[in-house]
Amino acid sequence: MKPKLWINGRWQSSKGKTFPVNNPATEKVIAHVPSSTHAELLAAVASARAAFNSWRWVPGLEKAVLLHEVARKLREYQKTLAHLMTLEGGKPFCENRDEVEWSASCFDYYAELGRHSRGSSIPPVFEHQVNFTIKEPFGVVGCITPWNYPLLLLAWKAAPALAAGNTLVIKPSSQTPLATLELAKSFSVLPSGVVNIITGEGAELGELLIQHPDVDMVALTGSVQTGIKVGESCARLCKPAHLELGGKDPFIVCSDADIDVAAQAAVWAGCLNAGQVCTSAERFYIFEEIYDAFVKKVVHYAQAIRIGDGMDPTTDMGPMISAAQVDKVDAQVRAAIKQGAELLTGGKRPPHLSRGFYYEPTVLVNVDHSMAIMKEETFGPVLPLMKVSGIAEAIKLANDSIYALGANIYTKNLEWSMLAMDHVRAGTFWINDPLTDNDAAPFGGCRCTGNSRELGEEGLDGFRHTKHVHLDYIMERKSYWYPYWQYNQVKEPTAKASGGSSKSKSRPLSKKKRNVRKKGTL
Amino acid sequence: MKNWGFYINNDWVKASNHRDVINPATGQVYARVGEATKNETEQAIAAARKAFDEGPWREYTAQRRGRVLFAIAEVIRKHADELAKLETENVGKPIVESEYDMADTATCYEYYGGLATKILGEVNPVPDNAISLTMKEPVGVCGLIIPWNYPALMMAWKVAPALAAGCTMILKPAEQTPMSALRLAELLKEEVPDLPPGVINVLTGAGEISGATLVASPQVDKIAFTGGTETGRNILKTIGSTHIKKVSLELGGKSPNIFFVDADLQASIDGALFGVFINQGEVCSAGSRLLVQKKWHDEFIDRLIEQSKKIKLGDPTLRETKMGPLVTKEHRERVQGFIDAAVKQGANLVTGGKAPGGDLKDGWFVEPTIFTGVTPEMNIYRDEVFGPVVTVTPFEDEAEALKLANGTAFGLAAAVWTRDIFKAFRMVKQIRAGIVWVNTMQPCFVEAPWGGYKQSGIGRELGRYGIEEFLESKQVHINLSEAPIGWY
Repeated sequence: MKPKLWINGRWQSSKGKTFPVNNPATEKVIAHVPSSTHAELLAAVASARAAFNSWRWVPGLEKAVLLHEVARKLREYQKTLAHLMTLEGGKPFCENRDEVEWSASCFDYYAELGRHSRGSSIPPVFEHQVNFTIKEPFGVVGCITPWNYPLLLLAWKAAPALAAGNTLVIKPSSQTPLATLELAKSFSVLPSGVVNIITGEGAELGELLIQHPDVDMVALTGSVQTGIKVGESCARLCKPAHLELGGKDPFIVCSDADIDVAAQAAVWAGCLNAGQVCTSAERFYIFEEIYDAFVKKVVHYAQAIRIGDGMDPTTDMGPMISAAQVDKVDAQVRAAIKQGAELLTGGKRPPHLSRGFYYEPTVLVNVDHSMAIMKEETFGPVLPLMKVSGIAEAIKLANDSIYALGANIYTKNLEWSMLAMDHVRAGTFWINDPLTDNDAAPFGGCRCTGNSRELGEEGLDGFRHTKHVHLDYIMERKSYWYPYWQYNQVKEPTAKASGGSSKSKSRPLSKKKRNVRKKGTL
Repeated sequence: MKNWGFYINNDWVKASNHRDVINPATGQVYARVGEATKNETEQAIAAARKAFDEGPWREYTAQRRGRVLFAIAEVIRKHADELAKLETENVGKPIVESEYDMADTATCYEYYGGLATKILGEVNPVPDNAISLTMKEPVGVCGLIIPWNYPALMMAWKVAPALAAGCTMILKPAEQTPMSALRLAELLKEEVPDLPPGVINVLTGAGEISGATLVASPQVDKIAFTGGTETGRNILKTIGSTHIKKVSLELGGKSPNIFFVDADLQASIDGALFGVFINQGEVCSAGSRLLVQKKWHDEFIDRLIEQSKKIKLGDPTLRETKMGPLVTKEHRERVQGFIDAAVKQGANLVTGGKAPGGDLKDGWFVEPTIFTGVTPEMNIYRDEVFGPVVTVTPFEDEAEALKLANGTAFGLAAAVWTRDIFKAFRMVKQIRAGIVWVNTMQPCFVEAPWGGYKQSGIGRELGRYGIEEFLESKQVHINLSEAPIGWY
C-alpha cells in the first residue's frame, strides 16, 4: 500500500520520505505513508484557504445536501473503512463498523443543525436600532486527530466545522493514517480544497500547521502533553485551540446495584478498545457491602474476555496500539503492585499470543490514591477496584483527579445518583449506562481534560465566532458626539427610567434627548 | 365605605354600578367596587389600544421596560405587608401564605424585568442571497383574566411577561377578589411614574359582561385566562364565533399524588397534606387524588387522618392559622355539594366533611376532608372540587398507579414519591401532565414553565415559555441581490 496525500480535491504523490504503519496484531508493516514536506503542507493550507472563500458562502441547504452525501459515502465504504481501522488500530471489526456508522450519523446531524442556526436577533438599547448576531466560520481549521477512534473523533470536528463554513487541513495520527486517507473518497463529494489530508510523523508537521498564518484555529484530540504544547503554540499566535484531552473516569458502584449487570458494565467500560478510550472507566469505587461479591464477578468477566486479532469475529479485545503503550500500562501496573496493590488477574501478555501488542484485562485491588494507577491516565485494559464506605467517600475520591471528562454510577437510588450527578466534576455523567454518546449532546470535560465541547449545538459553536451587527435606521448626529460642551448641556444624561422609589413625575424625554451616551454604547 | 372605580389611562374613572366585596372569614361586606358595563369595558379596551398603537410604550427599549418591571417589584416589596393583609382579608387565605405570595409576586416582576432584554429572535440561514431575521414583537392589547385563588400572584404571572414583551393590557381580576389589583393600580400611579397611561388598565366586574366583552372584542389581540375548564371552553367558543385572537388558558386539574412504599413515610404524609390543603385546597395544581400503594394503605390513612386533624382552621389574619375559609358562600356550597354526593355514591368519609361551627360559624369554612374507598367512577375522583377535599385510592403496582394517574380528563400536575431512580423516571416519562414533581408537591418557581396537558389548558406560563405567549414572531427577509428576477 502506497498512499498519497489528498490536497485540493485530488491525490498527490509526496516528495517526502515515508514512515511505516504497523498492524498491532501482527507487528507487521502494512503500509508506507508519506511524511509530507513543508511545501506540501503549504499547498494544503493554500488550497483550504482558497476553498474557504467560496465554501463559506455556500447556502446552508446546499451544504446540508453535501454533508448528507458525505454520510452516505461513509456508509457505502463502511466495510473498507472498518477493515482498515482494524488493521492499523487493532480494534475489533464490529467496533470499527459501529464507529463508521457513528461518524456518518454525526455528519447527518450537523448537516441539519448547520441549516437551522445562524444567530439571534437582539433587543436594541435604543429605539430605531436593529441588533442581531451572525455566526461566522473561523476560516481554515487544522484538525489533529488521535489513533484510538480515527474517524469518529475526526467526524466530531470535521462535521461541525464544515457545517459552520470552515475548510480543513487534517493531520491524522501517524499510527493510524490509513482510514483517514481512505476517507478522502467520501470527502470527494465536496468542492476541491474544502478538505485536505496530509500525513507525517512526530510533532513537526503539526507544529508547522499550527504556526501557519492562514490556519485560523486548531482542533486537537490527544494527550494532555500534546494538548499543552498545542495550546502554548496557539496562545503565542492568539489562535483559538479547541482541545479534547485525557481522562481518568471514575466508576461508582453502590450497594443497591445489580452486581452482575454492574460487573459486566465495569469490565466493558474498562476494556473497550483495550482501555484506549478517553472515557474509559479507569478507577472503580465499590460500596463495601457488595465489594467482595463485585470483585469476584469482575475477575470472572475480565477472564472471560477473548483476546485476539480484531478481524476474528469471536474477538472481544484486540491488541493495544503499540509496544510503547503496552510498556507504559505495564509499568503503571508493576508500580502499583510494588506499592502494595494485589493483582487478581492479567498484568501480562496473554500466553497464547506470541506476536502483537496484547495485554490481558487486568484487575487490581488494594489500590489507593498514592498510586499512579489511580491518578494518571492509564489508557489500557486495567480495572483498579477500591472499597468505599458510601456515597460521600465515593464522590470525594471521584473528584480527586486532575481530569474531569466522564463519570459513571451504578445505582437505583435516586438520592445517591442525583447527589453524585451534582457533585462529581465531569463533562458527562452516566447513570447506569456507561460510555454512550449522543450526537445532540455535548461531549468534553474541564480541568486537564480540555477547554471545549464537541457534539450538540455547542459543538457547532466551537467552530464559529459571533459577529454583532448594529444598525440605526435613522441617520442623525448623536448628541453624545463632539463637541462635548454641547453634550454637557444635555440636562439628564440617561434615558429617564423609573428608579425603584423615584418620585419623579417626569414623562419620557424627547427622542433626541434620550439618545445619549450610555455605558457600552461605543 | 369607599366606592372604587376603574383604573383607565392612569386615572380613576367612576363606575356606574357597584358590587359588594365580602370578607369570607366573617361574612361581612367591607368594600364596594365597580361593576363594569359593556361600555365601560370598551373604554378600557380603547385606552389599551391607543397606548399600544400610539403611546410612547412601544418606543420604550427593552432595558427601559425592564426597569419599569424592577420598579413594580420594588413597590410590591415595599408594600408587601399591606398587600398581604389585603389579600388575606379578601381571599381568606392564611396571612403567612399571603406573605409568601407577595414575595413570589415581587420575584415574578423582577424575573421578567430581567428577561425583557433577553428576548431573542433568530437569524435564519436561508438558502438565498439574503439576510433572514426573526424578530420578536409584542402581541398587542391583552385581556388578562385573573382567578380568585392567588389574585396578586396570578396577576403577576400574566402582567409581568406581558409588560416585558411590550404589550398593553386590560386586567380583570376575579369579581370576588379585586382588592389587591385595585390597590396595586393606586401604587403604580403614585410610585411608578415611568409607566405610560393606558399600558395597565384595571377593570372589575363579572365574567359574563366585562370578561365576555374582552374576549369578543376586535380591539383585543390576546386573551390570557386562568380559571375553570368550563369557562375556558366558553372563551374558546366566543373567540371562535367573534374575533379570532391568540389565547392561552390555564385551567383546572385533578392531580394525582402517588406514593410508593419505598418512599419515606413521614415525608409522604407531609407531602400528601401540603399538596392538597395549602390555600384551603383552592389550588389549580392541588394533589386531590392520593394514590397509595396497597402495602402502605391502612397505615398511611391512619397517619393522614391523625395529622390532618392538627391543621388549625381559624381567623386567617392570625399567624398560627393554617387554613382559612373558602372564598365565597357559593363556593362553600359547591364544595359541600361534592362532599355530600361522594357520601351518597358510597365513598367512605373518614374525617372532616362539614363546616366547623363554633367561633367560625360566620365564615365559609370547611374542615379538611378525606375520603377513602374512592373508585374512579365517583365524581369526587373525577371532578375538580377546588376545596379541602382529598380522596385516597389504593394501587397494587406501578402499572396500576400509572393507569389511575392518567385516568383523568386533566393533565396539569402530578407527584411521585419513591427512592428508586428507575421507577421515578419511568413514571415521569409516562405521566401525561405539564408538571411532575418527584418526592415533593407544589414547589413553583418563576424560572420553570407552568401549565397543563389535556383539559388543563393551552400554553404555558412562567419561565421563557411565559413570555413567548405575549410575543409574535416577524420574519424579515432582506434580499441582497439587485439583479431582476426575470420571471416574466
